[in-house]
Amino acid sequence: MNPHDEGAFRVFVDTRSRALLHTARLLTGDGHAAEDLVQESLARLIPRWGRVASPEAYVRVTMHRLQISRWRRRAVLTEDTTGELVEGTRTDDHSDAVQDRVVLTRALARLTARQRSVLVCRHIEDLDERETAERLGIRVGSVRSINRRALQRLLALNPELADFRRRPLDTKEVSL
Amino acid sequence: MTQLESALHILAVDRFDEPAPADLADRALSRARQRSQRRGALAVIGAATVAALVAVGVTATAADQQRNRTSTPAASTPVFAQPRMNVLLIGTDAAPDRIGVRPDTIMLASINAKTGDSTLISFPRNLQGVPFPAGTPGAKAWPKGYTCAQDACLLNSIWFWAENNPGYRKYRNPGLTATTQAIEQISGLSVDETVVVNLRGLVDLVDAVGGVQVTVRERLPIGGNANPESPDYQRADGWIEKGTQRLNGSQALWYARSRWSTDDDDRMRRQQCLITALTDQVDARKLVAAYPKLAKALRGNLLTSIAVQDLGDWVDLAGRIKDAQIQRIGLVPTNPSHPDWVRLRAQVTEAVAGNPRASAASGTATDPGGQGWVSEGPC
Repeated sequence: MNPHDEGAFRVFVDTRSRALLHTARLLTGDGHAAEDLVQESLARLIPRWGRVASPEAYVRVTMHRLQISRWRRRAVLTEDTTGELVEGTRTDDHSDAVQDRVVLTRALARLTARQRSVLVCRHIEDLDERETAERLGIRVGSVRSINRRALQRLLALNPELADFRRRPLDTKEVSL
Repeated sequence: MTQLESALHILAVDRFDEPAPADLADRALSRARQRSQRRGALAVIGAATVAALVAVGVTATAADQQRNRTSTPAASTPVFAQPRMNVLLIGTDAAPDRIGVRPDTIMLASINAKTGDSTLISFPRNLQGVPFPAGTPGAKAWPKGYTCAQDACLLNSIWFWAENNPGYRKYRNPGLTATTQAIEQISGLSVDETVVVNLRGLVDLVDAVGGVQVTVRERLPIGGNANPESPDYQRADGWIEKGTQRLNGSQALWYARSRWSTDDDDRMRRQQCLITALTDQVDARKLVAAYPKLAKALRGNLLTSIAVQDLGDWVDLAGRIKDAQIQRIGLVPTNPSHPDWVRLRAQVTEAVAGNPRASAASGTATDPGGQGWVSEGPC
């Protein structure tokens, strides 16, 4: 990588790594695994720098692909063990969005990697079923069924999520 | 459910997260370098055939430079455990991982790890009574050496014998293990690494580098057979004519393989000439360009013990070999069925130590004792 490209690459990492790590955490359910995933995906971007239309899209696809090969390898395992137990039950005394996020994140971490991949594509990155299928290299029907089962499992693990009410967040970044 | 789905959207916001580690870009850059070096390393493995252990090392270096001019140069001090590294080079007539391999070519390259000066020692494939090191399954099975009736137990049939011997079953590659042990016992040298390549691998390699120039001293037949009972007995499919010329992969194969119009000893000489010629002539850039194709072609046609993490050092060493002297030695016992092992071993030691008689690569400086080595004739 020449110094000019390297400079541009560093700017890209500085500005986007937080968002990438965020997605990686949701995908892996684990902070360290997330850093590894982002690092590896960034490393794979480097030789193609300047030749990919969107570095971010490239990294995101790579993250999913790497994560998929991980869940393919671990397909015999029914469930990841990285997630911590969800602490306590939610009552109406929670008012802040941070706690909602904590509960959801932990719940997500208790799903299988495959289920997390689908949920992240569908609901976090807002891809439609066809786009999700393409990105993950699975059939549209599988996207649909995995998504359904993942949501069911989220509910089974955390029954209180059934009456999850979206509280107004003090942010414009969330659009429904 | 839809409630839950929409709830998931709040996870799309990353601003409550901890910041990303500050050195993430550095880590990715260093990981990318590691990956590109590993690719270079795989290039070496892929192409480190009998012939181009050397040339390919240079390839990987060139590839690395081309890819990343700012990358830190490989460590200049070699980390080899011994002052000399001995690499056993075996050319076979089958896929290296298959049963029934017959090694046609058995050479030991003893390389001075510091200077790159090398001695290439050929072992006649028809040696009989080959000894094994004490304590090996081979020594147990053949306490008096590998000998049987009708001259059937030759050095190059040890591979096949070991494949079917229970003593070697625990090894991943019984044939290679037994052959390596035999060579160690004959030469008195320890084998540090092995490279096994089959005919297909050699052809692909030579084609990938755009051919090799050699001087053919005697008209050589392509195909045919030395066995009078064979329908192909001395019936050539074609000839490689006398003179200096560029051979393609399959011609080079026959240059190294052809035997019935000449003899085993001349063939050993030609095999060494081919390797020396490749070492001298291989254009690293061509190998780089050919690498993707080559790696694919060589998969299954090449087997090496050289570990990926050591390849950087081998690349460095290969660079030194290219500029250094290569001395070619053929072991030619006067009586292959009853070689004088003690003497052979002493001759190897002497040759490797840089015996002045041996370093004169021209002419045929036959061992005065009449049994031992000859410095191979000119190429």
